[in-house]
Amino acid sequence: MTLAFLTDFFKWLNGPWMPENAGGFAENVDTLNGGILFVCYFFTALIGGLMVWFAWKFRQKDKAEVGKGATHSTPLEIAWTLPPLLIVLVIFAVGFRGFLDMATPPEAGAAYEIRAQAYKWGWNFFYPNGGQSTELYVPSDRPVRLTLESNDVLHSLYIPAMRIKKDCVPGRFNEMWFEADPSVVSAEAPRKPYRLHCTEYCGQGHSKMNTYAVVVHPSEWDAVLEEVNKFNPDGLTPVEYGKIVYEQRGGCIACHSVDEAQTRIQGPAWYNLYGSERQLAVSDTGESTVIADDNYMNESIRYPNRKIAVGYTNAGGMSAYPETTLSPGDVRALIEYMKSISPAHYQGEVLQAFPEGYEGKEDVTASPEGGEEDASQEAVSGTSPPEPADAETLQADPAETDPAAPEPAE
Amino acid sequence: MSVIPNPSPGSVTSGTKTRELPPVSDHYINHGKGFLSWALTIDHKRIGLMYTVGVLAAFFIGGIFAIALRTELIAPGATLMFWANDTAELNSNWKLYNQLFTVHGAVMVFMFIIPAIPAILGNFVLPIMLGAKDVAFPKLNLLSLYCWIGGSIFFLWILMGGVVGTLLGLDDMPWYFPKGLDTGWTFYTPYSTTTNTGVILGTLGVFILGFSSILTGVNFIATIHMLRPKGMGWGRLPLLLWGLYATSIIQILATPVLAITVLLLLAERALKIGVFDPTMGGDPVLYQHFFWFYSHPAVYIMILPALGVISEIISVHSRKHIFGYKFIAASSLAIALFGFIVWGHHMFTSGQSPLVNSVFSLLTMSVAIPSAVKVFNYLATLYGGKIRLDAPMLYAMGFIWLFTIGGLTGLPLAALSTDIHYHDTYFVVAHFHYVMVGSTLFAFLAGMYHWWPKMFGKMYNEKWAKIGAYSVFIGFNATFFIQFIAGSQGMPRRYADYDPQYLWYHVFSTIGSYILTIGLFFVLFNWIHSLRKGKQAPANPWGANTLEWHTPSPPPHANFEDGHEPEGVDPYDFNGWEYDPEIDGYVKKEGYVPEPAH
Repeated sequence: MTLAFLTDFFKWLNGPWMPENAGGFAENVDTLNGGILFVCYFFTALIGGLMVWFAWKFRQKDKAEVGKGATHSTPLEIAWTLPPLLIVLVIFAVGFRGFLDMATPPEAGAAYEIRAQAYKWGWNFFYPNGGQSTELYVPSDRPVRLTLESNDVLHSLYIPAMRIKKDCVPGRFNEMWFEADPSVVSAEAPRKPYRLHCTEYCGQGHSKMNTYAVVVHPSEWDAVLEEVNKFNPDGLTPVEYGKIVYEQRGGCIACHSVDEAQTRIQGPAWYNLYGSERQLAVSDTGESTVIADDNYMNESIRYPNRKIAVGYTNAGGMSAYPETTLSPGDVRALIEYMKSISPAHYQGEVLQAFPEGYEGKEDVTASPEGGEEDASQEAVSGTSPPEPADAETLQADPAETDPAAPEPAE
Repeated sequence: MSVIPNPSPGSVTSGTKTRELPPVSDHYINHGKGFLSWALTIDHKRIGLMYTVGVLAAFFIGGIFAIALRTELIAPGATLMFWANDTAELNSNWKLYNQLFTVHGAVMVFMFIIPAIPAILGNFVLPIMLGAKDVAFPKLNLLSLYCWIGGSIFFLWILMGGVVGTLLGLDDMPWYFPKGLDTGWTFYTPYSTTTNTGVILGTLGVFILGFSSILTGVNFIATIHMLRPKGMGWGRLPLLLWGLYATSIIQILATPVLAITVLLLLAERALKIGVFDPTMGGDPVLYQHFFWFYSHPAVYIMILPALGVISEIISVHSRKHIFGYKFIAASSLAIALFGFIVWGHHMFTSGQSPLVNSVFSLLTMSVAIPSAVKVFNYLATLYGGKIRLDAPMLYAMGFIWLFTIGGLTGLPLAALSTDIHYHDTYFVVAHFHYVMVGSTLFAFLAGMYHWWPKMFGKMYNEKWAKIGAYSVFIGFNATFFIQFIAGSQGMPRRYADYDPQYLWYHVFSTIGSYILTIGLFFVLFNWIHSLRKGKQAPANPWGANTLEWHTPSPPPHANFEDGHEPEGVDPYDFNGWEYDPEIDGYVKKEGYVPEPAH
C-alpha cells in the first residue's frame, strides 16, 4: 500500500518533466525519475536553504570577529555519509531492475521483429514480410524487438515517448525492445506517430535524422504491411531472399547443409545452428563458447577465422565475405533464413501473426525475477522451446544454455 | 626540508614582529623589465600571470562560440546563416553549427577548464602556500606554458580554419588552411576516421596540450612532496593543495591514455591498421573506452581544483576554521580514485553487456559520497561563522548551489534505466555544464577574486564585483536549468535544428546566455578597473592564514621578504590576525601562540 502510494506520488512529481507517454518503459523510468526528483528537490532545498539561512544568520557584523565552533566531528561525518549512501544504493537497485527489463527482450516468436538500419542521414526499417519503410511502424498490441545496425558511423535510435535508446554501431548488431501502450490508438484513430531521433552525433545531417515511430492499431496492421511492401517488387520475404543468397548469390550451399539430418559437407550444418551454443577451438576473444546470434553470424561471414568451432580447424578454412561480395542486406537475409531453419530456437511463421494466447504485457514481459513469469512465457511460445535470444545477455552470461537445443553435428 | 632553501633569517629582530609588512617597491611584477624577462622567466608567479592572459583569451574565444551556438538555436531553422534558402546553404549552416560546437567544446575543455585553476591559481599560489621560492622544477613549468601556448595556437589554427572556410563557402582551400574539425570534442570513431576534416591535426593539438597538463602535474606532485616548510605535515597542507595534488595524480596517470588513443587513431588513419574502424575489423566502442578512460578522470581534473579553491574560500570568508579537514582532504583523493573506475557510464546505450553496465552504474553512485561529504562540511563550516558576503564568498556559495544541482542531476544519469532516457539529450548537456562549467567557472572566479589582491596588489571594486556575481549566477542558471527540462522532454544534444516543440526552452536558454555574457563582462571590466585604479591591497585583506597571506601583496620575487622563513601553520586558524581599519586588512597579533596541533 505504502509503496503504491509512493509510486503514485513519484509519478505525480515527475509530471511536468517527462514527455508524452506511449508505453515502452515509461512507467518504469518515470517512477524512478520521480523518486530521484524527490531526492533532488529535497537536498537542493536543504542545502540551498541552510546555506542562505547561515549566510544571513551568521553574517559578519564586525570585521574583527572570528567564528568559533567545532572543527570536526566524526559522528556528524558518518551521519551525513550514510543516508546518501543508502539513497544511492536504492536508486542503483531500482535503476538496475528497470534496466534488466529493457535489456531482456521477449523470446523469439513472442515479439514482432523489425530490423533497423541507420545511415548518414536517415533510417530504414525492414519488416518480416520483406517490406521496408523510413518510418518505424509498430503494432500496438505486442512487444516489438528491433535489431539495430549502422551502415557507416555511430547512430542512436531514441524514442522519447517510449523512454528507450540504443546505439547503432557499425559492424555489430544491437538489440532493443519495447511494447507500445495499446490505449494510444483505437480502431477510429489507428495510427499515432511519435518522434524518433538520432542521438549519437553523426555529422552534418545529424539534426535532420528524425523520423516517427508510428504506433498502429491491429485493425490497421495488414494495411501497413501492404504499404511498406510496395518497395519490394518481387514480394520476397527476407527468409525467401536469404534462401536465394544461400543457394546462389553467396554460394553457401557448397559447404553448408540445411537438411534436418545436419549433413556435414565442409562447414557446419545450418539446421538448428542459429541460437545454439558453439564450442570454440579458435577464438579471438579467448572465450570457449559463443551463442550463435546475429553478431556471431555476421562475424563468421566477414571474418571467418576469428572464431572457429570445435571440429572445424582442419576443414580448410572459410574464405571471408566482405561487403563487396555480400551486402549488409544479404547478410541480414541470410540471418533471417538461418533463423527460419532453426526451429529449436525460432518460429518463422509466428512473425506473420500475433502469438497465440497473447493476452497483454504481463505475459510476455521478460522479467529478471524468473519464476512464474517464465512459466507463462513457455505457454505463450507454444511448440517452440524458449530460447534466450538476447545477444547482450548471452554475452554477459555464456554459461546460460538451452538444454532443448540439440548440438549441431561437428 | 626545502630543496631550494629560503634565505637564512640573518639578524632580523624577532621579538617585535611587524604590524604590517611595509609595501615593497621590488615585487615580482616589476622585478626585471622587458620582453625577455617575461618570456624566459622561471618565476612561477609570472608564469601563472601569463597563463591568466592566455587562458582568459581561450575562455573569450570559447565564449564567442558559445554565444554563436545559442544564437543559432534561438529558433528552428538556419539562424546564423539566416540567408540560407537552398539546400546547399542550409547544409553549410549545419556544417557551420557542427564546427562551432566542436570548437566551443574543445577550446573550453582543453584550453580553459583543464588549465584554468591548476595553471593559473595553482601556479601562482601553490609554491607560496608551501613557503617555497618556486615549484620544484621551474624550467619544466616554463616548458609547460610553452606547450600550452604552442598547442593552443596550433589547435585554434586547425579549428578556426574550418569555421572561416565554411562561412565563406570555400570548398577548395590551400593546404595550409585547415578544414577545421566537426567531430565534437569527443572524436568518436568511426565518424572521426571518416570525416574529411582535420582530425589528425586536431588530436595532435590535444596531445600537445596534454603534455602541458602532465608537466604541470608532475611539478605539483614533486613540489608538494619536497618543498613543504618546517612544521607543515600532510595534516596542515591547505585544502587547495590537497585538491591540486589529487588533480595532478589524475593528470599524470590519465593523460598518457589520451596520448595512446591519439597514436592509435593516427596509426589507423595513416597505416590502415584496424583498431576502431569496423570496416577494417576494428571496434568503434573500444575507442569510447579509451577516450573515456582519459576523459572521465579529466572531468575530475576540472572539478577537484575547484573544490580545493572553495574549501579555502568558504573557511576564510566565514572567518572560521574549516570543518572536517581530514574528510575534505580524503574525499578529494577518493574522488580522484573513483574517477578512474566509472568511465563505462558513458556507454550505457552503446550495447556493452548489461553486466558491465550494472557494475559501472554501481561504481558511479560511489562518487556521490565524497561529493556529499564536501558539501555538508562546507555547510558545517558556514554554521557559526562570521560570514563576509563579498565577491569570493558569493561565488563560492554560487558554486555550492551549482555543484549541488549538478551533482544531484548526476543521479538519474548514473541510474541505468533513467539514463537510457537521458543519454545524449540536453539533460546531459545541462548536467555537465552545471558541474564542469558552472562549478569550475564559479570556483575560478571565486579564486580570482580571492587571490586578486595578492596577484596584483590591488583591491577591486566590491560593489561591481557583487553585481557581476549576481548577474553571472542568474545568467548561468537561466541558461542551463531550462535545458534539464528540454532534455527530459527528449531534445537530443548536438542538434543544429530542432522540432518547434522545443522552441521556448531554447529561447529562454539563449536569453539566459546573453545575461551570463553581460555578467562576465562586468567581471572583466571590474578587473581592468582594479588594475588601473584599484587601491593598494594590504598584505592580508581577508584575515586568511595560509602562507601566501604572510607576505606582501604582490609578493616579492622570492615570494617572501629576505629573512622571513615561513613555517607551517594551521592554515585555518584565524585567531592570530586582527583587523586594522587603517589599511582595511588584517595584521598579525603580537605574541599570538597558536594552539598545538591535535
